[in-house]
Amino acid sequence: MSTLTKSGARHQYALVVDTTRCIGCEACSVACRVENEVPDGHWRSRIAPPTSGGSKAPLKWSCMHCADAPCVQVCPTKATYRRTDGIVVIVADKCVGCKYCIVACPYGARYFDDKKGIPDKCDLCAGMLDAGLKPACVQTCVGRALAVADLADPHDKDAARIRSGEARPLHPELGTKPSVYYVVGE
Amino acid sequence: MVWGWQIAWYLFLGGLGAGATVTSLLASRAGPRVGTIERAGATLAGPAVALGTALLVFDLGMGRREPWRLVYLYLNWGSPMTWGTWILTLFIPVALLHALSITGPLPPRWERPVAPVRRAAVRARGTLKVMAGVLAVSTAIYTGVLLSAPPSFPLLGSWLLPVLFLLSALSTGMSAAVVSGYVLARHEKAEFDLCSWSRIHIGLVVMELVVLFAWLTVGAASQAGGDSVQLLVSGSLAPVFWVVVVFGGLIAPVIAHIATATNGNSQVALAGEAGVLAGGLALRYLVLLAAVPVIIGPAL
Repeated sequence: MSTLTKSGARHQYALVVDTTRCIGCEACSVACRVENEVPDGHWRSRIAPPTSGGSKAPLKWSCMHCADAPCVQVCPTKATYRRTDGIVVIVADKCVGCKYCIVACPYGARYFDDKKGIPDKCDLCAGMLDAGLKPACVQTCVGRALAVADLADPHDKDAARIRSGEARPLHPELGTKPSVYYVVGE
Repeated sequence: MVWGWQIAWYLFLGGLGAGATVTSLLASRAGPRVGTIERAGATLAGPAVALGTALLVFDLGMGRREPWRLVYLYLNWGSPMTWGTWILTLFIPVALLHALSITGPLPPRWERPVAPVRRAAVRARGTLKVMAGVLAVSTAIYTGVLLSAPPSFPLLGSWLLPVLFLLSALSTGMSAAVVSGYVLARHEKAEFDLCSWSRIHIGLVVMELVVLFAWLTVGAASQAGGDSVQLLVSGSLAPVFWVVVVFGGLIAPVIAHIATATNGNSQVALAGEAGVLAGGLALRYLVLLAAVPVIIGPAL
């Protein structure tokens, strides 16, 4: 479980993706795949191609760790829940594999792992964070475009980018309060 | 959509069982004599919903491999699937008991172990009818709520979907009960009044037709919802939508029931009932196949 910050407050994690530093090399996707043994044909983290109507930059796309996560709301077994530090995780032992969370996620961030018999997704490498390490994607990013921010830490520079509005969430209009924030150029 | 044919059949069979129960209860209001439709509808309901639920379990991942995990499904009162788990858990035995309470004895070999349960069911017949009615309507609405609750698919996320599924459930259940009741009546050489059922069924199907197009109109308001509607009305799913759902499942049955209500030709009405069943199943399939997600690309 989550540990405490130096000031004693709970961690409140968020991921900051600086698209102005992203070169779309997919190193984060590969590192994630290796670290989490993601099966072929699925992804926990990927680079979404730029679209004509939206962003002109490639976007790292993964679970948005929503504060009001539809997957958490619909999960009948409470196998999916949001930790106090903001990371949305799946307790494999409680999951029946009904796939309702996959249906419910508007970001399409979940996949069904046939071998495990349960849905899976990015958990921000929670085990590594708990051990004081950074997630695999953040460690690997060659352009230093990725950072884990701690909103509970008033001195965290990446959290300041979120507070100032420089980093913004994807599709906030859906009302799920995502915890992945993007910095976009002019 | 990650849900496939098992879920489409489950949604269809759950609705059919619910509708067959309601039909049986409506038939019971005709008089003290227990008619063939009343018995057929009640008898169909439990097995239909149980079969649908079995398909649902078969579609699970770890829940199928380690069935004791299914107990966790009762936990999250905020999840529509937990509501459904409770509803199905109660509805299947209540539907079976309701059937026992109004049907005659089985062959002696089968009746012996059932007899004490049947006696208790007959004593509680009134309570069972009320419970079966409430749980049947809950099941029919729930199948639509399951799909409409998440925000991910705009076409599905409308309150009109549960209404559409309720009407379709009543209609398909009525068709199944009427066809089975007709076969039973012929077997028992009993009288069978199809005309009055045709009049009720016309009303149901016309309402379903109106709600279907209202649902599509409301769903088309968003980008992804519009893409879903386009898939159904003019895209790759259009042939099945227009031929099986709209014509075979709604328009042709109305024509068939009008013909029966006016000239009493039961064969035509029975063909219409087959169309309703095929249309109801196709509707469930198409709703899953036409689900276009709300986010189809990044936008900042």
